[in-house]
Amino acid sequence: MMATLSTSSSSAAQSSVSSSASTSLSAQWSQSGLASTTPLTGAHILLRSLIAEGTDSIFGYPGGVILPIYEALPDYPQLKHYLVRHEQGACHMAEGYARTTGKAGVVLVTSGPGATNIVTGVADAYYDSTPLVVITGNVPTAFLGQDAFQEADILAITRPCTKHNIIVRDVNKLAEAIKEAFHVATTGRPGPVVVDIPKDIINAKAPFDYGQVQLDLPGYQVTESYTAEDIQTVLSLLSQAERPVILSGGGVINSEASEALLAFAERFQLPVGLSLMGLGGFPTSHPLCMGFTGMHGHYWANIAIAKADVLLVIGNRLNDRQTGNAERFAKQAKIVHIDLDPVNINKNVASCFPVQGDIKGVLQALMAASDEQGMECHTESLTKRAAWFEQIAFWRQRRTETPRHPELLSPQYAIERIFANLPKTAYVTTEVGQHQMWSAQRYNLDRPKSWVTSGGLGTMGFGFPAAIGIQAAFPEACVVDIAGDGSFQMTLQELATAKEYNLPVKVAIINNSYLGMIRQWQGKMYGRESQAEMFSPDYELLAQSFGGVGFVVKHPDELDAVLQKAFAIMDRPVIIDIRVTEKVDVYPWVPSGASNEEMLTDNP
Amino acid sequence: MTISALQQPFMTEITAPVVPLQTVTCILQARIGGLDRVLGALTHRGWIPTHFESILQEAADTLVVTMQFRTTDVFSVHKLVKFLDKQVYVLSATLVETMEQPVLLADSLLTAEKVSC
Repeated sequence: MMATLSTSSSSAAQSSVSSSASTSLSAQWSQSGLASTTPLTGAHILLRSLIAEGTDSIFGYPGGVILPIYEALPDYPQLKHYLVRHEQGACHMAEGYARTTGKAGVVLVTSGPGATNIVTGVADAYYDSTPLVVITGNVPTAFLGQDAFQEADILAITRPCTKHNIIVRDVNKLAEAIKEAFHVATTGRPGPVVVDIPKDIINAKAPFDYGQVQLDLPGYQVTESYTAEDIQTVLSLLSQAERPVILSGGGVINSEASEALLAFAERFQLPVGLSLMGLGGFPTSHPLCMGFTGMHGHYWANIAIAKADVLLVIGNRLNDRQTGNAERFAKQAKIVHIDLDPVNINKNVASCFPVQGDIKGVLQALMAASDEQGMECHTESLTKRAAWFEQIAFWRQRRTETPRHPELLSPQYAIERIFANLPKTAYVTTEVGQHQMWSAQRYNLDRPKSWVTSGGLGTMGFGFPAAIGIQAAFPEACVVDIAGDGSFQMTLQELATAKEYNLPVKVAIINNSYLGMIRQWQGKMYGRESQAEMFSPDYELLAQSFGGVGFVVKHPDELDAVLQKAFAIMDRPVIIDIRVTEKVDVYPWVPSGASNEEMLTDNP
Repeated sequence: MTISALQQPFMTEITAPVVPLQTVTCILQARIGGLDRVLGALTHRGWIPTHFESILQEAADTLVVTMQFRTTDVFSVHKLVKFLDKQVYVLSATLVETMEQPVLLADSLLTAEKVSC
């Protein structure tokens, strides 16, 4: 017996630059004045390559082996450098920048501890499909493997948490490595790429003409494997469905497919649930939007997915926080999984009908095919599914939280008021924990890329530096980090970065003096608390000591006025210390190992 | 001595399930770090191949990696192949399943247990 499987890629190759495009680029590059027939040092080659890739911001921290790069940096005023206070912060800033601009975020750090400090940020970017190009210096090649001062094998360390990583051992290959890094980071499913450059390569010289640089990546192909028949199958399933649901993930946002999704959902009258990373991919104010799904998702949205007869999973990898017990996830549904990454399909939930391709393209193909068939069926679909919509509306009425006490400042109310006072053009980041889940439940901005959170890795300390990166990209925008007191204390040193560049990031701390999610899980699953209560500094004074503005809110009646005042400040960082009721749990809650239907909807 | 008694010692071996041999072949660009991604994928899954070889083909600028696993968990091997195939320096990743000679039940179970985690 013999069976074969080949996953060799076949289409949409993007790994080489066509000769005509290359010629054009070369001409443009030569005219830019940055090409040089005189050999340049690796430092200059690196910086000119970054400019060629459209980089305008670098988040970095100098160190011994990359001093030649920092020495060259003032020659390139088009590169704005943000001096961070910790390399992890640099990565999160670059993530915030990347996820809101769509461009690759660029990080520059030194060898050894500088390089190892990036690991959390790089892993975060990997799991949340964020394009980063991270430049690490390293000791000279002759010292590699000798346990030299500040030597780290960063290639090995970052191998499992990067889309790709490269060590440059020949200065003549440096520009190619940078081009390769940007290409890999930003195409297909985005991700972080680390480029490690030993000091002797930084100092060595080579001729430089970026327009002539060719990629040599025959194995890197962005594949699409669906057929016209697959599209027909999906349409057929939809036309027969009585209880259809879309589950939309971060892939929709990465693919710039939000408008296509809106048109698709409206045409077929499909209710849309959003994953944590998918918030913003479909307008929450739309009647078809069911909002947040998953472990702490809305009751009605989770139940609708559980009861659906056809589930379209779009740009979502169906991880455990999304599915609950994967074996019991959407058991009544025929699942169609649309995703660019073939590895995601049938990974966690088996027996899905796969449509592997760019999400925007797939949605457009579905629309085009339905056009051909005359499936302009708004009225027909709505009539057919009237009972389904009535059922979802009934579930939506179910109470999921204890009513608010007028004298107590509950965390849910605080977050509601934050969203109510935000301008619609705002950006929101979060840290990780209870406040993140309450925020996801209450998110009300209708724009893709307006919600930036750490979904896959779940990195406490992510939100504040990410907000700084967003503010660097959009200096006029209102950027708010909704934080927990525990998370904020992980990266609060970046207040200095925000102040140094007058970035008016607002941090709204939902301060309950606890690691709230830890306390919740300990109380419910282990019966007692341990190391969950936490001291906080005086955040008002802390803000002032960093040159920012601090506010304290202790009563619900004070909240709106303080938020409005704080959100209007545009020249300094702001901290709003919101002292909320301490012991409040997040509901709904799907306990680990349970199915989404078994969610707890309130304190028993 | 009965026939069945004579046959009994052999029955275990004869009726033991044949555990298929899964052979994964990866062709990589010969670049630093490419092989690391293959090995890392095995390490992360806790897999030890029964056979592993890597041949540098300098003329073609490629590295041909062949590894074999004796397991019935084809689904997991498929996932490995898909994961390897999307690595930047991997030109192709293929899986061939063959049924080879019967192996002792104890050996096969031991191998399958290791590979399927």
